[in-house]
Amino acid sequence: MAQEQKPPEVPTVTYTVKAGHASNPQTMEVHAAQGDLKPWDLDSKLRVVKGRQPRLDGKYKVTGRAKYTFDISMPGMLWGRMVRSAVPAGQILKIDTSKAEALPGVKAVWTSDARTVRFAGQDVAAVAAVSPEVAEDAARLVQVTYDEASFVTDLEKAMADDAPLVYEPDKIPGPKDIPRKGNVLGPKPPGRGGSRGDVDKGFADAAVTIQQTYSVPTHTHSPLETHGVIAKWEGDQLTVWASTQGVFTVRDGMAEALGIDRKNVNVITEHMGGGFGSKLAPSASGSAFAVVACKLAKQAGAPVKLMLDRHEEHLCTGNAPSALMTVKIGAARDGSFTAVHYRSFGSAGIAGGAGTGGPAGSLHGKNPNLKIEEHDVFTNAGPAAPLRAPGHPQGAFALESAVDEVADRLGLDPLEVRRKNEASPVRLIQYDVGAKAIGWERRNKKPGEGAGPRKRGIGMANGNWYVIARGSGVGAEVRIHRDGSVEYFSGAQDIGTGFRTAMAMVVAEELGLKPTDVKPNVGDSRWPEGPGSGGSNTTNSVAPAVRLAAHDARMKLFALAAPGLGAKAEDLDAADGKIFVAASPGKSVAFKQTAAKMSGEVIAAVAERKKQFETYRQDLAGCQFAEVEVDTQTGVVRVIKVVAVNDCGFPINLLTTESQIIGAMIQGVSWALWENRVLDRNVGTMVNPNLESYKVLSSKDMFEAVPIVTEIANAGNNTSAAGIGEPCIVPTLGAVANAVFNASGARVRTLPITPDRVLAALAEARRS
Amino acid sequence: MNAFEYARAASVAQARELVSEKPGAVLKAGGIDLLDHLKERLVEPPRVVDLKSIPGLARIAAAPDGSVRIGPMATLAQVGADPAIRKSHPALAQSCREAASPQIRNVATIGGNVLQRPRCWYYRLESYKCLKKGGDICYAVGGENRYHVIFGGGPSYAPHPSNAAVALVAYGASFVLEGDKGPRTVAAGDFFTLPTKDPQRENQLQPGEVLTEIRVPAAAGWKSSYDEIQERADFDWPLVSIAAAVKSEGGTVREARVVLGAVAPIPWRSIRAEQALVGKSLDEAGANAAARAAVVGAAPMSDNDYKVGLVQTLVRRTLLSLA
Ligand SMILES: Cc1cc2nc3c(=O)[nH]c(=O)nc-3n(C[C@H](O)[C@H](O)[C@H](O)COP(=O)(O)OP(=O)(O)OC[C@H]3O[C@@H](n4cnc5c(N)ncnc54)[C@H](O)[C@@H]3O)c2cc1C
Ligand code: SF4
Repeated sequence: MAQEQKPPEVPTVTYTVKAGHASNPQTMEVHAAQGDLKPWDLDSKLRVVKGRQPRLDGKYKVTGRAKYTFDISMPGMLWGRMVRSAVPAGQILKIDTSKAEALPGVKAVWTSDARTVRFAGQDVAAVAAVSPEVAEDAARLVQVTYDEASFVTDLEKAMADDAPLVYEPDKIPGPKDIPRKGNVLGPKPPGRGGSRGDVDKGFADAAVTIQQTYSVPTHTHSPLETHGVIAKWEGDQLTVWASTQGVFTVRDGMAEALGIDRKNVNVITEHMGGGFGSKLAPSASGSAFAVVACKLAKQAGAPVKLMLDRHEEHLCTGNAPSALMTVKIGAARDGSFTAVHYRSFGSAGIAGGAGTGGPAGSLHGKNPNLKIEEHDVFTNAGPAAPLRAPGHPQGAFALESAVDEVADRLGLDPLEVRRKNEASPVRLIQYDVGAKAIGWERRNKKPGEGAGPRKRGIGMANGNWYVIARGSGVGAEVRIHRDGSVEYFSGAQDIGTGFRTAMAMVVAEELGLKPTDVKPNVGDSRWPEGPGSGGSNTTNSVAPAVRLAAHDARMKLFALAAPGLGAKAEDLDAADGKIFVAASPGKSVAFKQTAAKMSGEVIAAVAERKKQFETYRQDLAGCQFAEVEVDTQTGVVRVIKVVAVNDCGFPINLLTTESQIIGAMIQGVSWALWENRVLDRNVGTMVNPNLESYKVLSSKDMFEAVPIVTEIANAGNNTSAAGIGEPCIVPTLGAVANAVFNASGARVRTLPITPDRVLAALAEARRS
Repeated sequence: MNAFEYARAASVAQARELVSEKPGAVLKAGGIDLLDHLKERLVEPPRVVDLKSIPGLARIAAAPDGSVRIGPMATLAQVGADPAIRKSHPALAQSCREAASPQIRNVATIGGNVLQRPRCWYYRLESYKCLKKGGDICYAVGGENRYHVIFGGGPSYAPHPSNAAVALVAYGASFVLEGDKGPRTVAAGDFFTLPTKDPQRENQLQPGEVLTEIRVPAAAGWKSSYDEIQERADFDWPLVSIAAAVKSEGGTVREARVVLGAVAPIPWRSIRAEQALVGKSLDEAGANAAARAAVVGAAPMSDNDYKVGLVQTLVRRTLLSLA
């Protein structure tokens, strides 16, 4: 990703915006860069944006015409395959590729220079051959000799004083000024939100204090399309088709690793089969496979396709860190918090970045005293990668379970306790909306009070995220052709979120067309630059540039229409395929007719995104309500319904925004109830590297998913869009756990909530 | 997978010939289990012999006396939906309908289901050279054994994976096996073998033998049911399953069959639970007594003692559903 430079001071223009939620509009002033447009706000009469537009590529996807990286093939193409370390720790003594090289059909071989093995699944060697079968056979012929070392894969065991060291102390990744001992790095300085007040005093003032420890195992992203690329050289020109969330990240990463100029690298991602954060690196967090594919292609003088298999996908392409979180909350009798102490240890495998303190830093903003301590624990396992609001689903599960435990102790309604501590006006609205949609009054007043062995219950939890946007280095181009056809170009990728459709809606809004009139061109590094899709920033980084380009094209077209309509260009408007005088819509001319007047063949408008400006809220709010049924004799949990209430600024396309939320609920329920990477405790290798025993939600487990978008005119950019992909998964885990408690009285503090854990928690509840 | 030759058999005799002339050759039915083995190189056969091309092997024939003959190539979907079987042997139909997922059931055959290899995750990955693959340790002992057995374990602890086998044992079915010496018939209850006999095998099918028919005797006068507990609602294996059948007279149980699945290396007939029922009425007390009896002698491993409770729940619930 291009380094975000500190934007230079630019001249600004002041706009007055009607911001916030329609039920409580707030007038605010924003200082946009000169040339930027006034942001869409509560007064804007939008015709297309905020509507429900089915994906423009939907029909290609369901008919199989959409080509994913996996589907691409070309004449003379070779098949690459990686060889990965079979042991979790040690030294590589020898990599013997002679037998592989001798196999007929093998065209290139690569070996890693790294000799220290820190996790099972690390890159060791690779081959390229004329067919996937020969490549597989060749990879098996590579003989690797290891000097194995002792290892540790378990989070808690890695924290012990006598644990085998994953890194020598001076090699631990992370800032040098953070304390380190053994495999533990921390406490790290608190991130967003930070610590405040005096927790000791807060706990002394508390009427009740609870302290509990919660844990979440490692979760793998498991996108349907695994990581992979096709690399093709033409002279010194490299083209890479990549299943990535960042075409420009891949471009820059390949250029750097191969020592070539960025302009000689072209990266293409037309359709992408899921990433959830794992596809933000140039290759992957735990493998340089894309660079290796480029090297193999160069060596062989032929294109090389290298797609990882499902097994590799689990081992080396990232995961969401495990976490062990101790939450202490002090509260007054009325439920208002006097102090929160959040302490977490998490393992991102051989990588850092296992913090989970984000929700503690942002939620319950009225609590005066907060202390957050986060620690990274290194283990001999594949490095983590961002996964949908990194660290937040885990952190919110722990924190929001603890909040429920406070409510239970005080005999208060858990929703009331949250209202008492709520600082966000948006979430206060969401509480009412969500409670109504789930029927909050139906929950058990006493957990587990339902009759019979199969008991239902309702729980809720909060989540948070942030407005993250790239304010510079993002562009877009809109073209109107003489025949009236319109297309736009953005190099940024559509990772399945519906990005290409949303941008077409922005163009259609400005030009008075239907989204289906606009041809999208996305996912190609030859087109205007865009961000990597991380931090829920794609739409709100790119849409403002698209709008500016479309607006520029609109004004050029209005200039062509104005003389005929006897009006000035500024007095025109466009809708329904017509350009008309705003004050007397009867005076109109067809869009197509106007386009035919252009002197050349095309009106091309290119724009750059202007700086981010003031927002109504810098945090994104969300809360979710879950209804579950717990079979108290078997411990089996079924999710009946989840209501998700989330805010994302203005949803450009309400339909795909809701799809994002539904997807997050599914992934969150799956995380809460099933997903669990299991590493053998004695051997250190994964026992479930597949989608059979690494269990994800099955179709029959699907519940009623109700996504509710709280529309907020948020400003910040000229579209008022913020982000949605990540925030909507943050509350789900906690909501399910709290619903299980409400249904059955079983407080399960370790995910996933499997039958054995439910039965054990029920037995514990009976004892106490 | 390795490169192999693919052959279609026109008859059972030809299938046997095609297998015996190439040491290491394997039979393929639906291929669900076989392909997993090939892809992971658990087997590297020189030849795969497809049984699909043999006419008549998928036939389901119900006799007027209520007995049923099932061709091994009938799919789980077919058996699960067969009107005669649903009526005469409901537990068998249920066991097929509960297995795996709709897509798999449309391809998987009942013969392949009964003969599939265990799902122990160590066995299923090439890298673990465990006892079942001719190695010298069982990784589940002291390892990740939450899905392993609580009865009859040692030296392998992998549960028998077949749903259908549990029901077939309960109904006293038998298998017709065709080998060098012509066909032989083996009772389902004797067919499956414990790992003490040979940890590398789960049954007494001989190399080159073909399962040609499953015979299920009439179950007139019996009430029967199959049920299971699983973590996911679909696309998943049972943690515990059961096929139970009872024959009652005047409210008193005269005969009973209780067979448990997913808890032992073979379909686990609980004679103790059966005995606890006989002479009792099928009420809460009778079901509880059978449930308690069913777990006598259970020997859970480090991470699977929850299965003991699940067995009791399932025995109790299923028996009460037959009352
Ligand atoms: C995700 C998943 C979930 C599943 N869940 C369940 C479940 O819940 N319950 C359950 O019972 N099963 C389950 N299964 C297993 C599935 O039902 C079996 O793999 C399937 O029934 C095997 O049948 P097949 O016809 O595909 O056999 P194949 O794979 O073709 O054959 C299996 C084995 O039997 C041998 N064989 C087959 N037919 C004959 C014959 N006539 N004579 C001699 N040898 C023969 C083959 O050589 C091979 O060794 C699941 C599978 C998957 C992938
Ligand atoms: S239980 Fe059986 S199959 Fe599993 S590791 Fe042990 S010996 Fe191998």
